[in-house]
Amino acid sequence: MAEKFFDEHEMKTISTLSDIIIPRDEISGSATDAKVPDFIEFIVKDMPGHQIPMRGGLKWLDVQCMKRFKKTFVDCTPAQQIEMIDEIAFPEQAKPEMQQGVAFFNLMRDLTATGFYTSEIGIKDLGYMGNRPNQWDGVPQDVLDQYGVKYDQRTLEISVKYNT
Amino acid sequence: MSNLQIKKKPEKYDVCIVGSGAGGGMAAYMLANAGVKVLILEAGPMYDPAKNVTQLKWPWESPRRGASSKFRNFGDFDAAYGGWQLDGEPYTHKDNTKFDWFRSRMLGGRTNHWGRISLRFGPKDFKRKNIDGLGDNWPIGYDDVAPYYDRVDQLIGIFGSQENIPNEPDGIFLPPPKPRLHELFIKDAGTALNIPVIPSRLSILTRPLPTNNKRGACFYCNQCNRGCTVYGDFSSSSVLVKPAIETGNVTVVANAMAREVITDNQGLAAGISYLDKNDGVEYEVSARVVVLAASACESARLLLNSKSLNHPNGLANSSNIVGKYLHDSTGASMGGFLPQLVGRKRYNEDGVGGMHVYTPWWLDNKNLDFPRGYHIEYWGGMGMPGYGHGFGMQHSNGKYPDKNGKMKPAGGYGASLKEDHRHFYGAYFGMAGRGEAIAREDNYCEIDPTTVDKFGIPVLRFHYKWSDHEILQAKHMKETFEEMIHKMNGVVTWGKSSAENNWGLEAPGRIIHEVGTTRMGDDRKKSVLNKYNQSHDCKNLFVVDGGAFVSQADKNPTWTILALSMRASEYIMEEMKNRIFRHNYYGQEKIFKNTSGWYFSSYRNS
Ligand SMILES: Cc1cc2nc3c(=O)[nH]c(=O)nc-3n(C[C@H](O)[C@H](O)[C@H](O)COP(=O)(O)OP(=O)(O)OC[C@H]3O[C@@H](n4cnc5c(N)ncnc54)[C@H](O)[C@@H]3O)c2cc1C
Ligand code: SF4
Repeated sequence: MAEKFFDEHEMKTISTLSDIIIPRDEISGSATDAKVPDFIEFIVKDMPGHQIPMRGGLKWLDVQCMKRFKKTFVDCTPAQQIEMIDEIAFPEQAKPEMQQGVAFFNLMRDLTATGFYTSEIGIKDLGYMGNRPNQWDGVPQDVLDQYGVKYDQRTLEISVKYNT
Repeated sequence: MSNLQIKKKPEKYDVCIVGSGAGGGMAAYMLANAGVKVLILEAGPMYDPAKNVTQLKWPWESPRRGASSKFRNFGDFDAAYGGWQLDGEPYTHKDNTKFDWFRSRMLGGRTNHWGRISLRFGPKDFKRKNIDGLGDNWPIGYDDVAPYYDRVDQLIGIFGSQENIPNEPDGIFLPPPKPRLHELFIKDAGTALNIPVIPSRLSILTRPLPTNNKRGACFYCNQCNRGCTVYGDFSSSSVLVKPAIETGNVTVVANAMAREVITDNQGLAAGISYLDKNDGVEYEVSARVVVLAASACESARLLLNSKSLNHPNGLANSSNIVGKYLHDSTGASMGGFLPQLVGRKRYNEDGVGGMHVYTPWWLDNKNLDFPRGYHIEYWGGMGMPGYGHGFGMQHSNGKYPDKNGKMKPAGGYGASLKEDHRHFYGAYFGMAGRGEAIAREDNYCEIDPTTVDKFGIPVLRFHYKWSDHEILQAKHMKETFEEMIHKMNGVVTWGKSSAENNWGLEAPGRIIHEVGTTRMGDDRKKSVLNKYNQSHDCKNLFVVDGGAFVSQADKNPTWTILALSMRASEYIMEEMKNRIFRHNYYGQEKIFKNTSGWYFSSYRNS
């Protein structure tokens, strides 16, 4: 997989977009911190079905920006970029002529999220606590209390128990 | 290849088993432990879950984050060496019908990565025709199989609970794990709707087995599909074939693709011809008994490809039934989102590699517009992210208030989108029905007259259509799912369907419970095997995979495959003792009885 699918300009656009979608905040780093663009480069080669929607979508975005701002997306100012993104990031509010952009941004949002939340940074952010040896002894008591549920007597009697 | 030749293997075996999945693994285990000399031919490579480890790997350790790929249909981490398509081994379809065929080629077959849902068939399941007049009864009943279910439970290990539900026989169970949080909600909803939700029955060791110190107890990583390094779950490779090899009575030839069953001039099975994929050489090996366990469709294929003077229609096929009555479980599913679970507290919720509760069939079909039942499987909660995690946020985050109780437009980006991912994590769940289809003669696999695979073996062609029985059942599933979800105050996010798409009924084959292709019966004109999985036409030939099923019940098939294979193996040993299989390909056979009454191994070198 040494061969690149995206050219340098496309990769730059992907990086910018992914950091707009998942920026750094007080809890965790950004999409590029989690190497999401590398993941996207890999996955479009692995799942060729993503190739045309991604390549075409990036082009669509640049053409829109050229029309509006006479610049490609990455050369726009951050404010211009956001102005553009706001047109395509909200499927239910977008104008009919923006629908292709919406579809592209949905895909970009999906791939960015998946790349991010399957990275070490992303999993820590989510707070997933498994994937390690454990002794499952049921839902913690404070959580049961929070939801006002409990294990009935029979369940407690028949289930496997641990002295934790 | 000008130098193509067929080499005869000098060794002679008592029993040659083709395939090492549930059926083949059990036969090998039983026979080897009784002192029978066994050869296993396995089309895939050797495999040991303790050595081929993806357990406890993190998603970022895979460049595709565990996603599926062309030849790893269940993803990078899954233990399956195989999938819906195998390179160079096609299958075809007749009349534009659909059937998807899942094959795993590896020691242990599909049991290395199956769901471990291990349900006994009940008394009614063997005699459905008596109830609704459809299909056929089995030639055996629950009482015939029950002692073997008991022994399978004890040998392999299964957790569950005593419920005394008439058609869901209890087993010899290890204690079940407690339900997860969403499973408690499911249980409450079920109780309110009179839908039973009981502890699931999975072949996973919540406690070590008293009789087996080579297998560890489950440590709740939720990854049984990846293969368990401590053998905490059932895989034929680790739990049956490995100990069978340790008896010293089993030879395994891996990467050996069986081509045909060879018969002698009396029409009895004499051995197997196979291609050794390691050296590319064609071999023939002799055995006194041949046991097919290559999976239901593959065993049918072998039989149909084994044509001879005595068996012009394929072996064991004087009835013309081989390949017919193919049926898979029905399946339909729906999923959603539990608003009460947003922003939930984090803890390790992995549990065992599957659901902790399920719903057995609970209604009487007399009062319904479809004849057979289904059970419901559940999933959800705070699982490990993999490829696909976080997809489709625009379908959730516009519908519910965010962390701060504010409604927002769907989709979006930035810090608030990140908040939404945290907020909605662990609030999704799903359910799937697995139902009984009616076995029909006109759903079948046969040999495609024009197509061969890369080994030159004629391939299977499928013809399969659902009927209204299955479609109306799927409709009922969907109605039940919606009711359950609404009762939980959940929201359906996917899986709503209508008559146009058959109520979301999955294509035949998708549930991977295909059975029935060499069905058993008392009438040799209407069945391939007798009630001991033995061919009517060819007495030293057995089929011990799902092919033998007359009907597939609303249960998953594997526990019954295991029980029937155990039963057939004992019958084989009995018949060997009685020397029914004595026939003349050994030339000057000398009968020899050792002190235990077994004679067959002793005379091999004579
Ligand atoms: C993802 C998944 C989940 C499942 N979940 C469940 C579940 O929860 N409960 C349940 O009961 N069932 C489940 N099943 C079904 C279960 O796996 C099968 O019922 C079971 O494995 C069938 O056993 P078998 O011995 O008939 O065939 P297999 O396990 O398929 O084994 C057949 C073996 O034969 C070999 N073989 C094939 N052709 C040849 C040849 N020509 N020569 C030599 N060797 C050959 C194959 O390589 C393979 O190793 C699941 C299956 C899958 C894929
Ligand atoms: S869930 Fe338990 S049995 Fe399954 S792989 Fe993990 S430790 Fe093994």
